[in-house]
Amino acid sequence: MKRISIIILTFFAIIASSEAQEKQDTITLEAVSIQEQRSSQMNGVNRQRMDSLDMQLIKPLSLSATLASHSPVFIKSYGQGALSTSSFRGAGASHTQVLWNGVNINSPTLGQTDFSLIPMNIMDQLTLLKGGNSIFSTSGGLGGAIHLDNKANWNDTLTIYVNQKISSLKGSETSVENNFITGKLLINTRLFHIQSENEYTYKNNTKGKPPYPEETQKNAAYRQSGLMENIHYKIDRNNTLSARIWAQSNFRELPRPLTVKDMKRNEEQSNEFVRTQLSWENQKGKDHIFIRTAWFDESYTYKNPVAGLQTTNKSRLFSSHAAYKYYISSDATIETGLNSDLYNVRSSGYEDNFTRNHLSAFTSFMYRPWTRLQTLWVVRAEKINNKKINILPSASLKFSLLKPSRLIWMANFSRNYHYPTMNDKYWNPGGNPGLEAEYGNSYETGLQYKKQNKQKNLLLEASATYYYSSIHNWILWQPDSIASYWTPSNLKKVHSQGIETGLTITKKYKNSMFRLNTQYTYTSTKNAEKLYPGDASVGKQLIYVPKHSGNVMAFVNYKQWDLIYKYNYTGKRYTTSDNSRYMPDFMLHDLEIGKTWELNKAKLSTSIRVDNILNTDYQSVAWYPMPGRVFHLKLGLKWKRN
Amino acid sequence: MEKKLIHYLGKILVLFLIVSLSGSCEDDEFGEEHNDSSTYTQEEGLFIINEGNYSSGNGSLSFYNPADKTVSNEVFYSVNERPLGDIPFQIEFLNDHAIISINNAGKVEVVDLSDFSSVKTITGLSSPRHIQSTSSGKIFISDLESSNMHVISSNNYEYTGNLDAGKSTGAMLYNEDLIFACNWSEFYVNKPNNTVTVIDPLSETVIQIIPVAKEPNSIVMDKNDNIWVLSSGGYNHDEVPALTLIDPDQLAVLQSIPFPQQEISPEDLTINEHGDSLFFTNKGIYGMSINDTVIPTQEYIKKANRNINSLAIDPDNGDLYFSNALDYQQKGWIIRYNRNTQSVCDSFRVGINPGAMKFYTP
Repeated sequence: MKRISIIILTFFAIIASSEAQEKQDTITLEAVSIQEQRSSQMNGVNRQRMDSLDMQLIKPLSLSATLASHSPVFIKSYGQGALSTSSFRGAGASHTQVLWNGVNINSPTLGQTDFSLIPMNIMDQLTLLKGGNSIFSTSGGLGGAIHLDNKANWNDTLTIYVNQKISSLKGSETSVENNFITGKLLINTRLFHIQSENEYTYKNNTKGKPPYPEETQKNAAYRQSGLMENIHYKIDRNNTLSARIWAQSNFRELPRPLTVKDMKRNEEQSNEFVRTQLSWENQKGKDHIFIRTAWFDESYTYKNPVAGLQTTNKSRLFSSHAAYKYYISSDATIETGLNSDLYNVRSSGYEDNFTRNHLSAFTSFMYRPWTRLQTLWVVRAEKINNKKINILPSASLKFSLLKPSRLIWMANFSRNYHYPTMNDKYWNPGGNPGLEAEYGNSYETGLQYKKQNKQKNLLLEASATYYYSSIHNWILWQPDSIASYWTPSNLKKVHSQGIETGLTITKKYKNSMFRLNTQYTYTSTKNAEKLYPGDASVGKQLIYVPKHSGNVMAFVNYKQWDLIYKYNYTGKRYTTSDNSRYMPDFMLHDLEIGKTWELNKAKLSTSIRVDNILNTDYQSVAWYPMPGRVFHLKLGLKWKRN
Repeated sequence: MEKKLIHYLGKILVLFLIVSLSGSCEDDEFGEEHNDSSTYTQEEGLFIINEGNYSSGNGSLSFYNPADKTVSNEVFYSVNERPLGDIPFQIEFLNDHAIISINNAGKVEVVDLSDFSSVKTITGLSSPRHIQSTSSGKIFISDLESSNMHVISSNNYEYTGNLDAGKSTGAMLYNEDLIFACNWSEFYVNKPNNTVTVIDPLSETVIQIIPVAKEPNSIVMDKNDNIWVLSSGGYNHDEVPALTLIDPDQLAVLQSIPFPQQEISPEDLTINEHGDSLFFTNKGIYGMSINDTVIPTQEYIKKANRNINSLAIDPDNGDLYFSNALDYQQKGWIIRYNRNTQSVCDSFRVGINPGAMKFYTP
């Protein structure tokens, strides 16, 4: 107890920042709609963008928690700070492409991103391109693509944020951000350190009948520390140079599932990366040129001291990108470009070094033949190493049913493919160099409704989308019959369809504000082909993809007080391909209350958040117990010189 | 106006809380659930170990009654209301009890065969594999991750100590005198895995080490009391797989029959009811006489798109049973094959990834 009070005292002594207060001055209803209009071509596709208000609210969370509570993407999580992978529109984890300022950050070895390793407060904007709409920015997103972007803030010449958080899981988070402008130069620096013993009690449901004994989770600690640097230099009115660095070091212990023996020494995982980008942007009249190079260096180590096992992967990416955009008229824009991602991977799991050159030429054409109709045509021609060229077309249209743009009907058709990961191809033993790419077509149609009442300060947004997609050659690992190890093959054919709905209400009045954000997602992802005699997986839902999921976020701001309530529903997930076993559904409620004080140029804010307020016992992945009620205490300071 | 707004917002929040809280008290369950129920009764029949998937804790136990062709799944779970554990691996019968090794859970479960209720759980083992009871009142359990073989008392199932076998041990055979333990793995205990270690269960000492081909995975005794060992040649196909015949008296190799190919992985050596024919899996199923000196090239039963995982032969009527794991993520099948009529006479679904099968006679 004494120790806790010392921690709390220290905590209050530390100066820190605030997300909460930001809302009042930076968010207006107009900002939301202007942002929509501004976005040029990307506006043509079905995307979901977290606006600045949402970002303010979710900033302290990791990307995995953000996606779980604010998006239709399903996150399969092994625990706090533990591996979190995604299923977007019912597809597999490697079918979600994640891009940081346009460059793909999915691991070349596993083909996926671990969402718990990305703290949201180093990003400024999150955009989801659903399903085939992702062809606009990348290939391989059979489920979709997630854009993480840093935006330059040229408004404030000097801003400093300091943030400190502690949690009842013996965890703490410290982050600092500095935005500095001098003349034509902008330097934005962010540093963070996150650590948690991640110690909590859970009920061990492998031990006989209820009531289950309570045990303490150990060996689940994690640490993350990192740096994000964004530097922009305005050479002149038309030219901007940007440099970005994202360096991070991560460590985590890998706790065992409850059904596995307790080991004296735990498995652990660590990884380090440095990701850099350099870009030049030229915008003059109707021409827009963008050139970017990126250099990533990543390493990943897995250790199992009991087995005396250690696996190390090292990968490098050299990416080059050049694009030219021409504004033909106010109703037509064309963009064309070339992207090359050159990967080099060394792994103790491979027999050799492997390189992959992923070349992509793309052209997109936005055309509005009629004020009510907007069309977007995209085609990518891709070549990986010496494989044959793949042509990936995508067509989107948006049609205003009600003036002015209140009710929009939209549709998209795309063809996409996903190349096998390096592990799929080269893992020794088991990798299958003969694997083919997964591919498929996707179709979607939907409605978007938006109503803004300026007198009543009310904004209402609603959307509903139906999609259908097929994925052929789905890669599946299973034990090989000629050897005793696992090997991947192009086995499955999967049909996926679903409905995504969303509703957002924002209401403002003088010094108070209310915002409600809800989403419901129905996902039906089924195995379409019989592979073996007696195969009962045909027509059954894929494992760990919930049919039903939804979330609610309600935010109330009154004077200097904030109240945030979050609700997440995760439906039943099957754990066997014949759907004979499943994980039950669960619901989580989080509540946060905060207050902000204005102190001259500074703002001081504090908040208390309670996750899983009802102390629900649940497991997201079978036999990995999740924490019950968790308390977070947060203190933030923001200082600004205009 | 301001009051009105707060009132309105409050109402919405309360409504949401009611809606969202209303469902949360329905269900207390939070672990994996399944719908199988067992109708197990203690009879003569076949036990099937369903290994499940590594770290998924979805292994289980099934029982098949060949007389009336009925199957009971989740035999352990339905009585004890807890999962059997991660990767159940082998089963052995002793005094109306079944002893089951659960590999990745590092434990051995002892159950009462009359109702399958748990009698004892022996925990803290590193990676228990095969179980061998002996007439000396001791049960020997081989271990993948350790050179120590676990010794358990067959009276009270207390851990009495361990025996240093020098190497990691796997499949075992007891000929009422000695234990022949295959040194299957060189992964955790870094010693060559091309031997069979012969152990005297009374003195608990290693008395001989017999060289065989790399990675011996299964071992049987024929009608002449000779011992047959099947080696896969290593998971990386380092050597040509071979069948090795061992003289149990001289503790020496009588004969070694190499396979015609290296890039294969034969497993699951099984002897028929008369002790004169050998069967093994290698994609499909192969059969040969103990007098043959070459490995057959013709399959006895074709793979036919099945993922054949294990074999067993009914000691009474000679029916051959083999498992099909399908995609390894769903309930697998056991196919019962009548060797006389050369046709499938029954098939049934068991648990995930069916592995070891063993006949039980009360």
